[in-house]
Amino acid sequence: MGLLHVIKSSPLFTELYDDEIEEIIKNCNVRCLEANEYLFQENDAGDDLFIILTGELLIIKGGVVITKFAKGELLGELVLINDQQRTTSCTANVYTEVLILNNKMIFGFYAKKPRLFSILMMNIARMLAQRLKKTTIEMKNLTEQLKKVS
Amino acid sequence: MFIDMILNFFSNYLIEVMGGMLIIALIARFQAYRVSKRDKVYFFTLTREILVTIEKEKEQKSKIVNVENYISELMGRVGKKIPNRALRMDKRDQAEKKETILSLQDYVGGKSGFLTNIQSEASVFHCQTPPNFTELTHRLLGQDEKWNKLVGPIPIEGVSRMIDILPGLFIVFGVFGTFVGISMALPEIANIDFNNLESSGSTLTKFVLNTTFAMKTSIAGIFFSVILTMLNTFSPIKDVRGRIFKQIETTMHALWYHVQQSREAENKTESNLDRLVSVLEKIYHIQSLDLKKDKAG
Repeated sequence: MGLLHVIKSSPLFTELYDDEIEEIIKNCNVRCLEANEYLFQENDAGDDLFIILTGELLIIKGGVVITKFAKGELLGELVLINDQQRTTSCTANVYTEVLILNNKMIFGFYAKKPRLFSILMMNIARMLAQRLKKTTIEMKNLTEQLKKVS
Repeated sequence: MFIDMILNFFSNYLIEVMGGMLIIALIARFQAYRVSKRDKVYFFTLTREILVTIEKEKEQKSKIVNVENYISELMGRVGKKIPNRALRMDKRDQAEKKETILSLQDYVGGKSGFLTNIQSEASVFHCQTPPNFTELTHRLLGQDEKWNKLVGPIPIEGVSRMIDILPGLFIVFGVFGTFVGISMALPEIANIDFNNLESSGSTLTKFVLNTTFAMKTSIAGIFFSVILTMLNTFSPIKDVRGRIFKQIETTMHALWYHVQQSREAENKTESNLDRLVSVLEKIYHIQSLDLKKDKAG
């Protein structure tokens, strides 16, 4: 499948074979967003995670752009850890297409293919750890800058 | 014994087998031609839209900052202008669907599939050296299942090649049938009693029938071969697919040149800035030397 090389670059699918990735995504949907169209808004209920196929998404909190997500990146993974209310808003910066993965579909692999499920969970944990590490560094930098200013 | 089995089978059913092959070939050919024509309409519409959009961009003289985002946006705009229905989707898929959400199968097999393939090759448009556009087109089309498959898992290229060789194959079958007929007829001559030809009537009949079979298979082989050859000449599938391939290759060529030209202004600005910086550094160095001399003096 032509999309495979975009999706394979996502950290969610690290250490998975191509046929395993195809099995995961074969029943997924794709959503197309115009520039400035919202994918989801803060406090919306949701049980989907998204992989960006083309374009760019902005994460917004309190009217401030926190970060950007580009092609191949995954977002919304907190729904897998029982957090089904969106904590931020997400809007398309340019024309964007996202692959929608439903958490029920992913949890369905627990019974059918536990090996696949455990690899997915491991990858989610790694991603969250990376983001936590990145946030810690940013917090440290901001704290230092605040100290300099004050 | 095995050869006897083959001779027995083909002596009874060869023409029927050839007829069956012809019917299957005609059905496959019709389907392949229909699919190729449908693909031609789709790809020609798509490439025309890309070229028209590129022309508009050239008139507006818009600059390209990020090549990947530009290609993504361009394909998005082109995708909106391409009709969603009828062209490459089965009739059952043409029921009203929310355009913003598609199943992955529809996304890959529909209008977005090929556009996504182009977006996935965006890195090619970064290069300042012209890429091999033939290979690029091969890669783009290689990922498109509707281009590669006729029905289900049956590859269209394989079917096309098979249809191309079938006229020759029918002639071979015809000759084979002739040999089968003759090899079955000749032993009958040994059974003929030339001293009593009346009692050899049935033997002679068998001899004639087998010889007739030999002729019939050749006639059938030639006739089937002529039908397929005429069809291949008047409505060739390879030509249609070749033209589609060429059109896509030309469009990718045009897109690459457009991207490079729109980035050229940016590259020139960068190199001019570098030169300006080096000139300013030289001036600063000269001035600092002069200041030192003045102080020393």
